[in-house]
Amino acid sequence: MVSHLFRRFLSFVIALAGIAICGFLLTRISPREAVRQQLGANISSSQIKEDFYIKRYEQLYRKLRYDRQVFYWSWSGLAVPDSFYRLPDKYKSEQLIELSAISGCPEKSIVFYQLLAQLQLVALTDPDPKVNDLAAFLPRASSVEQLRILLNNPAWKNSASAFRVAEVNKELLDLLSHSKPWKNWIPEIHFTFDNQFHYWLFGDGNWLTGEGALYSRGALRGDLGKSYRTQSFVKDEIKNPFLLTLKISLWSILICFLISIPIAISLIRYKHTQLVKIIQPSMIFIYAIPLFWMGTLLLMTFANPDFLKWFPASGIAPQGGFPADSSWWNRFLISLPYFVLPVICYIYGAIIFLSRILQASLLQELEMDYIQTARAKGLHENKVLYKHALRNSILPLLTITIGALPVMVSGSLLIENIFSLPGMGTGLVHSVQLEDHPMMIGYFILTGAITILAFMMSDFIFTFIDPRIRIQKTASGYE
Amino acid sequence: MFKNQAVLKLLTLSSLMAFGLFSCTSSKKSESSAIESSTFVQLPGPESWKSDWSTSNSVVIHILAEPDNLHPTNGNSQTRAEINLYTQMALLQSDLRTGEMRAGLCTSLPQVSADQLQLNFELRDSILWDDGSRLTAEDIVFTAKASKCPFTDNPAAKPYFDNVKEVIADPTNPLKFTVVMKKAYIQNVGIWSDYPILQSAFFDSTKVFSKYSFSQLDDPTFSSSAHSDLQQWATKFNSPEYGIDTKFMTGLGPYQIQSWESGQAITLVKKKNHWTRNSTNYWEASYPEKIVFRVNRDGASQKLEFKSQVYDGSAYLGTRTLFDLKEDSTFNKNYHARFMDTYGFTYLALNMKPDGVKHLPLLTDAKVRRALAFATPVDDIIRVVNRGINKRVNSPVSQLKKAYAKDLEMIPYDVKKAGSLLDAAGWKDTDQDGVRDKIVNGKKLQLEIELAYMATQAEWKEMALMIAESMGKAGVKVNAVAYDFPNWMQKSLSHDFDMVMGASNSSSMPDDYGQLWSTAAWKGNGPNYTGFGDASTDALIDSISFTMDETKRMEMEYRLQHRIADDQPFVFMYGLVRRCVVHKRFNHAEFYAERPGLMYNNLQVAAPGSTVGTAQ
Repeated sequence: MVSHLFRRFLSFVIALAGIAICGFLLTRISPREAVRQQLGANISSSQIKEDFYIKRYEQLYRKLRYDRQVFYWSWSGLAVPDSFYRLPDKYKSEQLIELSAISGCPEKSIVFYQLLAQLQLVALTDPDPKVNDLAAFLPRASSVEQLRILLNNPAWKNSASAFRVAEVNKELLDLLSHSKPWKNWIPEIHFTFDNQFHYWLFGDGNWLTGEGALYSRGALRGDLGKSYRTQSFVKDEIKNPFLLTLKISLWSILICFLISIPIAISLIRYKHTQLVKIIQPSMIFIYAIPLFWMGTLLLMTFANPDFLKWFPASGIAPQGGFPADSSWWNRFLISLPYFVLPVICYIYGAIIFLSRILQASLLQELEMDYIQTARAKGLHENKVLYKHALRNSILPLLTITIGALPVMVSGSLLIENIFSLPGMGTGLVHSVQLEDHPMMIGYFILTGAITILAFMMSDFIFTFIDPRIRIQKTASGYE
Repeated sequence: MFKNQAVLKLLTLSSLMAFGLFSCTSSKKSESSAIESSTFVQLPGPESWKSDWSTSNSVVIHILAEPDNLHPTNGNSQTRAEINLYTQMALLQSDLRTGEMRAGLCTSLPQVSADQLQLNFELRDSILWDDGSRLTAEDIVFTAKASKCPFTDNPAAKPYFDNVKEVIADPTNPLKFTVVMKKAYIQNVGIWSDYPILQSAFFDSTKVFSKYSFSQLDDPTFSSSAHSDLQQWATKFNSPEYGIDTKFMTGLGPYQIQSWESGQAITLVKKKNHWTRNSTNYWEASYPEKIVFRVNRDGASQKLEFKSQVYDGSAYLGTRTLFDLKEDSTFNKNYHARFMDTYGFTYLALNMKPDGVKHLPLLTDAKVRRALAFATPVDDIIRVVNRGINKRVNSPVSQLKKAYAKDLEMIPYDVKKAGSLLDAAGWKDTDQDGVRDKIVNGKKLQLEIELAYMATQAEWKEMALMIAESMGKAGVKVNAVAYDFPNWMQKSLSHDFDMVMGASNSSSMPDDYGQLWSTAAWKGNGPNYTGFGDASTDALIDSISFTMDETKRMEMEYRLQHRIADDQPFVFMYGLVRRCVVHKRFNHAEFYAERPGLMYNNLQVAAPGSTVGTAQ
């Protein structure tokens, strides 16, 4: 058993590490947008601010280490070095990649790019506005073909930059005439400890002790860094949304169980009545109601001063908070009305789904021989149903319910939005919208950990409850 | 401060744009008018007290999202800036009623030297920090140094303070100081408008900054490793401690943060014996004991909360939500509600300088651009998509401003005129396929353009389809394509478009035209998306930026607007509105064209049976 537990724990750690790595890599897709978000909407180009913005942008880009290799190793074609993809300037990056991919010579591409930059600098001050415009297009040319068209524009001929254009054209021809495109097909692997993942994992201080860290002590030490948006630690930012969503999820699951079991039993017990014949299709109808519509319907019905004002329409606590001297129980009672409608939204579908599953499972179980035997022994129908049939039928229900826990904990954006709940769903979506990478990784890891834990729990509970399932050690392992 | 920068900020926020209108006057309007067209509207107090109205002296305000933090200077969110209006104070403030700048913590607007590089300020004598100490020039010097410091996280303020050479405290008078600027610039004074002043003794108790001069902070080689004491100070200053922990939030404003329930509400409480306690000025008064900002994102829930009188005010309701509420008698009984003009507008930007490869030279001729303006059904868009609440605009300058050129013509919807202009430009449907064409540089080009719009709101799509249909009647094939916001922004900034639809905002402060219209802003991938301008317009823009004489400046602004109208880089569509709501139980309520739209500190509960109150 200990060995089994250890193996399960090991698989948990491996899966979590996989999720963390995937989450980390996902956030590396758009580093430039993340930096822009951090700088706010200050995408400026007024004369007084342009240089300043670019400087700040590049500083922040490097500070967040987006210019480093993403992982310990990277591979790219021999023609295009991996570093070209991580330049802060998108246009420079794209041009260098294009030039190198065609020429197969990154060093010469850099030299050519420098020449091009010099030409642009000079041409921007040219008295001819046409030359100015051409100069402005130079760094944005997204293909060599476009670059050629720009460089061969007749407007250059009478400009002061004409000789530079000729030089650039010559260099471009030289670059292309000695092209080695085959280099694109030869992979080059780079390995370095100076990479983004390493800093994320071990922090920016001493990698063994974590001492001297300025921004993060490393994910391995439980420090996922600071939110780009608020500059607070990720764990502090996630704590409240997580606890709120967990609270709602656990209550929802409990209520789900408490309601769906009697419903399923009633549906079986009174299956031949008219009421059940009406209720069953109604259940399917309710199940089919979209979540956002159900939320709005509930609001309009039970939080509406023009109809029934039974519950508050938003929030989780009264305005101004709880009374200072209120006990835990009082706080619970005060906040209860705020959770009624969201919890109904969470569970209405699940109750119907679970009831139907349990109903089907019970019906199957009631056909079994041992049930017939129990009945033949003269046991009361209640005893047959509750003691024998239900016990065996409830197993799939447990698995399904616990399996649903991660979905609930990851939060329902729709429900949280309708009722203004500051839960995990809203938090995750906000972090994605704002490219808040540390928060995104935090949410991924937490949701992943809960998913794995839920599956493990479901596994153990299944094993614990069902005497037929035994872990038996055999020569070949477990069965 | 940074009101003109709002042009840029709101380009980003425009994904959340509301559809609004513009107006022509700046006078007060009567309450009965459904749409207000003024810089502010003064609302009457209650005519009679309703039995279900609360007499609580707390004000509950609806917001859409909580701020990123409540740091006095570091942060990006608009909500942070709005809450700071109550907890912080600035040397200068925007007068929300007039749109002009006025003195805040100083006795008057600064005296500006002839070369416009020196601003002489004098602080008011009665201003005290929360610990009872007096506001002095030392605090201003510290604020400027902290804002300039390369290690502090205030990127929005940095470019402006970069232009501050130094702040010199008067050795003989602790209330006087001089701000020395590097370059003359139209916003040199505006830097100090609504920019919170930091308490030196609180934020820099060890006087780290006394060791550093302004010139050191300007040094591009200034590094954190060589100045670890300053880096340590900045790390603490940037930390959430000063932005989230209510114990470390201090400011000169009449309110302090009492609590911040994450994702739910932020509560401000009135300070006892604050130096503004006897003030009745609408910008300094503090009538409510508490101001609570509560988050609510869902339209249905917002409607119910307003019907239940949970909220006292909002400037964040959606247009449709407010329309629905205005049809409800209970709501109308309890609330004042208006669509207030703002300084923003929507537009179609036309690429005047395409690269010729990815984007063909279809819109390089001013006649073609003018034809597209004639073929844009702006009035229909306003009527169909926005329920008629918006007004047309024809200039980047708001009609609320004195600088607006009133003699500019509004281009009517006229497909025939559009057709004749296209004919004159040589675009004719020679192959009878319904799309005009022309031989350019030996190649036959079809007048087929892509209209890029944001996929953020359904209204954008409706508008794009209406425009495509209408321009199609003039023989211009328009392919409307939706982009998510980052892509839309990227396409616009890199001039990777034929025609792009968007919204831009501004403020009551003097415009810095360089941001939208200078050629540098096109070359540098800035917000001059279209490629408008040449050396003459650049010179004009520069002159506007550096001319402090208002009459001369406005003359130049008129000229620039006419040039923009002639070149037609934009098809200006309609002005944006702000949806303002406030409970009728208050006296002194006002709505403003300028952000934030309402000031809640000035809301005084009208006692049952009291007379109508008017703000001072």
